[in-house]
Amino acid sequence: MSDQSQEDDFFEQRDDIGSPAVVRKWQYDAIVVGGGHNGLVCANYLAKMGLEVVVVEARGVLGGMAVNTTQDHGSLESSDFAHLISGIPGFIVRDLKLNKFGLRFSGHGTRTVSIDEEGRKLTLSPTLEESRESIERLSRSDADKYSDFTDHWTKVAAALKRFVSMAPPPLELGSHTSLESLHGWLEQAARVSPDILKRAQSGLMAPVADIVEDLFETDLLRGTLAFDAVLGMNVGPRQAGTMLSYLQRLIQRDLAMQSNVGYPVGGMTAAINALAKSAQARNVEIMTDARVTDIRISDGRVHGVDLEGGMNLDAKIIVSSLDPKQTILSLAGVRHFDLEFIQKLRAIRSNGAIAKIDLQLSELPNITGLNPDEFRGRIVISPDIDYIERASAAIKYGEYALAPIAEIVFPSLFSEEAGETHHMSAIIQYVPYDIAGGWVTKRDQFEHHILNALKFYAPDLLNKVLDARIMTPADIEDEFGIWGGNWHHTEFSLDQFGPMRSMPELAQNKTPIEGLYLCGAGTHPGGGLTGLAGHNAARVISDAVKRRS
Amino acid sequence: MKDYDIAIIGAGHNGLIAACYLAKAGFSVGVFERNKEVGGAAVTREGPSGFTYFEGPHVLTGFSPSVMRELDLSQYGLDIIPLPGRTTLNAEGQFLTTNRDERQSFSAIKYFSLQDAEMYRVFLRDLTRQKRIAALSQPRIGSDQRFGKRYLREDVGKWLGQVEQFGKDALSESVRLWTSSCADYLQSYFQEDIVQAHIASPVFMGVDKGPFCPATAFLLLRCGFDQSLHGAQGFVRGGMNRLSHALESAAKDAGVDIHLRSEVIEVQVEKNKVRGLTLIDSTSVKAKVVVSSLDLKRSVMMLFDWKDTERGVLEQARNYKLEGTLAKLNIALDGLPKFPNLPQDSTVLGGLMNFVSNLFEIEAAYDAWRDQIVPSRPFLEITIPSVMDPSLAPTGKHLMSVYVQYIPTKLLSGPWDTAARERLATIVIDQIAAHSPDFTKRIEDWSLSVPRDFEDKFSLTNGDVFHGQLSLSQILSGSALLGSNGTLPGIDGFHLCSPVTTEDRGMTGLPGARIARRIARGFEDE
Repeated sequence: MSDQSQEDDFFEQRDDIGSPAVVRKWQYDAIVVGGGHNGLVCANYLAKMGLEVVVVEARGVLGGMAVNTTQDHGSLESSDFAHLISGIPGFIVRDLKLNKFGLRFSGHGTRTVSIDEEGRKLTLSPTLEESRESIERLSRSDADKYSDFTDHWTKVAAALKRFVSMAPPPLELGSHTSLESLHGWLEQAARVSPDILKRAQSGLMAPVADIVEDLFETDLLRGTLAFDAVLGMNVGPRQAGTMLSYLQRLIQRDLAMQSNVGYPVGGMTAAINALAKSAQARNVEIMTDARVTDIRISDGRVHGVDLEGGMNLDAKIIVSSLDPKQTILSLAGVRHFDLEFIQKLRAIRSNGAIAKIDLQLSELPNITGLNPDEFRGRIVISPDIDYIERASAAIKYGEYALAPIAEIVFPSLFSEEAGETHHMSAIIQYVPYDIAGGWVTKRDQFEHHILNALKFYAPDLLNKVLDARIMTPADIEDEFGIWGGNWHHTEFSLDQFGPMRSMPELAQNKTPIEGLYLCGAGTHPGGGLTGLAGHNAARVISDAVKRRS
Repeated sequence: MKDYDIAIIGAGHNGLIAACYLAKAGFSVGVFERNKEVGGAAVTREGPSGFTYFEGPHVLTGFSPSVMRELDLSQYGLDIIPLPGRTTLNAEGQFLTTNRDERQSFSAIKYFSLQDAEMYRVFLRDLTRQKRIAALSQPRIGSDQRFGKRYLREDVGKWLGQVEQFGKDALSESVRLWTSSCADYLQSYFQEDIVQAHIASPVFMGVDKGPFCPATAFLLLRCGFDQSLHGAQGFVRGGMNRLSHALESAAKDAGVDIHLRSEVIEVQVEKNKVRGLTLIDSTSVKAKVVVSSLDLKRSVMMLFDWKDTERGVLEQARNYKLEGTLAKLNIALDGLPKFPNLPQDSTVLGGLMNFVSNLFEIEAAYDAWRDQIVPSRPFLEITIPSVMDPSLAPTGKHLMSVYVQYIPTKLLSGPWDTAARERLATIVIDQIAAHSPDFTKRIEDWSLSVPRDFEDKFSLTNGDVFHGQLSLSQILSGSALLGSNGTLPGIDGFHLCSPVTTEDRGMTGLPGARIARRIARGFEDE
């Protein structure tokens, strides 16, 4: 306990998050570029190793995409971008003692209410019994199979979770070390039971549609499960890689729940605050409004960063939580890399397919078939597999889905300070980054279309809208500096997964430049608000530091 | 009915090839065929006065030279005319013709882009390397005993050692090939739309995915872009049924009994051991071993009474995906149509042709198929086999054979009735006529088969010409259900010789040959 009060006291003394103007020094062991959840997790672990660390964040607030606060939009403040919290793994919470820094958890997860055009609804709840009851109203046989389904895939997820908290093995052959590290992975694989491996094997490569259609007969159940699989992806549920995405989600859930900690009270904002506080308690310097303009490189290794405004910071280790293209093309500069590498880097698919819409409402709308109590979960529009697949086809041709899939939440219902108005936040998928005709001309049409699409489910919605704000993938790019505006930084797909994430040369969180590391969602295991990529990068850096000393 | 050592279901090419090998090995073999003729889908029929229509495939791709030699098929009249080339003609009237000669293909691509031409060489070299890696005896996925620590450390370790010989990047390039979309993969080599579309064109015939779908690049391995794909590629002189007749004669000479109009309705099983067959007229045929050339789904679901045995097998077979995507149009022409944008030489007109400008056109047709509607621009593979083989049409006249890709088995709008068929034929004819002003007026007759017809005529479930789609998960799960000898779990003496037993789903004849060799070896072991 004394340990905690010490850290708390220390924190009391410095509750400022610095700006470049008040920075205390110029030289560090490590600079973390970007103060999102992965950057903060990485900074914490590096500081724990005893390194002197500074985090430089371009925006005025920490949290990156996890906390979507924009200063110019006071009316719609603090909407978590990824409003469904997949959760920081229990082991990271324990390692970083985040509960000492104000992170509290509530034991229950989010309830999903899925609705279709005919007014049917389905509730999937963290408690199996409730889900069963709801499914039973649609199909008896599906209700029976649902527990087997969750049981089966939860087991697979639990067995495979060991693979997300370490950097993937390099695929480059020929060097002694790489073969050895592959063997290391195989050793891990050998610990997983043969039965689970076999089940995982065919499942991992399958389209989620095959799995849920083979098992269930209800369209709404199939569509709802497939929604979780395709969320954040650019393809539909009939494509390979979507079951892997579903499994990834289960793994994240399993990791978050492994200590029964539940979900952070206060959402991702609270989690980010705790991460920042714990970092500062470990002597990490955090600078906001500190935009990196250049990563300084010479003789094939990093020396520091230049900040907007002319300030320079020096360090031998630079960890970027930005996406790989932004890091290498904009900040490091192509001249330091060979041509073939840059060509492959440019070929990484990184366009987002999600738009976010935030509505300020005079009061809660009516949603056909739902009672107000159900507004406290997430509301999903994803009625069947073919509906999703059709929606996904649009972006191939630079168009947005006319009938999109959507996830709606009402953050104002969770806010501790109840306000006069309500806030509805929805993510809309499949929306192209590059729209035919350009977003400048298509934006209003899109906004109009989406509001009308939502009106179908909430007939009185338009009368209650006080303010609306839409973020297209292009806006997300502008706001967060992510090339392509993809919230996974780079597309999550079979060919950009694991040892291929986002390209084989970058998959171990390293780059061809000595001392330059990546810790963002563009590295394994990808997106989701877990901080795992930050953790994995810190492990890689720790190994490198140990080898050198 | 006489007893046999081995009874074979279906007199398609694989069934007949298996029969030949087994009879030559000294077994008594009976082949049972539902139709009134042999050949399965490799058949032709008489069109109007003097035309020969191709009911199924119009070219052989990758037919095994060893099968040809060992069964002495040229003695029985099989003559393969090499395919002269493949041509893509785009909307701007530019064309690209390539063939298995790398130098000629290089010059043709160079016309569009020197860089693409140079990358074509790299592409061929990379594909050849990947074929070799794929051919390594891989750590097999699927059968239980192969997992576990020893397997992972030793087998995978050994395999990695072998892969390493193909270069530092062999493994990452392998993973890239097996997980990427065909579009991404091709775009990493080629810049010109016509080059990308041209190379993708043989990949997607019969496939239930489009070029932008994840995990479709590995399908490139099936295509014989150069000499690295073994086997004969070309037209069968006299029509595809000459292959079937050559196999029929070879089988009869080897002592095989071929029973036509003899549909098998059940495989008799006693105590998990095959006892024989029951025919549709209730005739019982005793046999020690039964070989089925039907697809996996049909074999499992229609031939067995699964009450007594594992229901899991039935479940897996039910979930096995077979999808029809191909329609077939035969067109009788009163002369060779003119294509003003193409040279009038046999390399082009006597080869395979398509009219795609870019990968998006192929993808758009796929998107329509997935929505169960007829694409406005279906993806065509056109050939005029009578250019190379005048015997297929009356003197001066020509036969055109068209594979129409991305045609749904079921239409959202209703049944495949006469009106729907005529609409499809018109769409296809119009697409061809857009490049050939005199085409429409040369048409004497046409005949169309849709996927449903392939199911009715050739017992291909859903009209799937591959006997099961080539998806990554299906390649894994298919081999999980089937044993290495094409066996089913819990049934002794039953083997499958469908293309599903090999990763290459073309008309190679290898499934029949391999299963026959393994069965013969099995008897020796006993």
